[in-house]
Amino acid sequence: MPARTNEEWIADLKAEGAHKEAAVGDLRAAIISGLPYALSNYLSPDNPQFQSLAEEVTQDTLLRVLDRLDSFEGRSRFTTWVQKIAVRIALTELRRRRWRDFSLDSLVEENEEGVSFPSLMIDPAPNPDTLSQQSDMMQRIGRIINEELTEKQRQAMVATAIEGVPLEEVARRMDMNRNALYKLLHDARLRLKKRLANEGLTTEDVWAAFDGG
Amino acid sequence: MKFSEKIKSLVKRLGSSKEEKDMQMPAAFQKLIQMVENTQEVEFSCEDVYHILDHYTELVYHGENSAGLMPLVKHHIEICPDCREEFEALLRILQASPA
Repeated sequence: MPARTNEEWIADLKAEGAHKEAAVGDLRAAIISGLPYALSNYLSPDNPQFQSLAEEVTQDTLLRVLDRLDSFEGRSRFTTWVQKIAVRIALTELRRRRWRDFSLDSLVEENEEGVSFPSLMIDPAPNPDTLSQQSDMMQRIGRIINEELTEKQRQAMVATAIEGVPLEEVARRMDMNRNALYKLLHDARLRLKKRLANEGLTTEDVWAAFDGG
Repeated sequence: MKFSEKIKSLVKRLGSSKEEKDMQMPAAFQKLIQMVENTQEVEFSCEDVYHILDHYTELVYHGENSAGLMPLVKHHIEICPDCREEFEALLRILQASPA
């Protein structure tokens, strides 16, 4: 593949004919060669799904790049900018496939006291003193979470921070985009941080309850 | 003891005596408290980070002082798992195909 400057990439991709064809071919090769590394934590190239995903991602990336050439600001190498787009497309698709069967409703448990989140509950410990100390702290934090956050914020926080569901997938289920979900979570974290400060509850206090004082 | 050191010491205890195991904070709860503690008044959004992720990743790849130059990106990546995954994936590509 010929080494191109950023300007040459842009010029060739905006050209017509052989120059453009060669540049698109080289860009395709660059995207494909990066995907095994991008996906190495998630999908082996030996996995039957890899090839179809790689082809889909490469095609979508090329289309998006050609459509948005003018938005490239030249802050990085052109190929790094393209790889960034490929990574976003690839991981978005992988997350969608992996969490296809996940439901936000599965995080919530309704009982006589209202809605609760079982994953915030403590596991039973055989030592009654320890259990009591930990349980008191969990209840206190749980009360603060219930009082400060909206149900939507609680649901989003439990799903992302505790259950490890990608923001992208939680956002999809909440009919919002990932950016808006991040802002919702940021607001929730800020509220909790301020409330803990107002109650004079430091993280040291929280740790102490679990660390035997 | 610093907050981060507390976490390390708690994690280190995994696999130690049964009594000590009983004192463990549930990992998920620990993570939540840590995220709240690390919250800043002003944070970059996912879009802000995505906009300059290529530049930031190249800085990291070249060993530049990325945290000093772009502290808000670094902070967001520490908090947001989706953006962190994307940063790490892009970094792996750069490391595999150096300029």
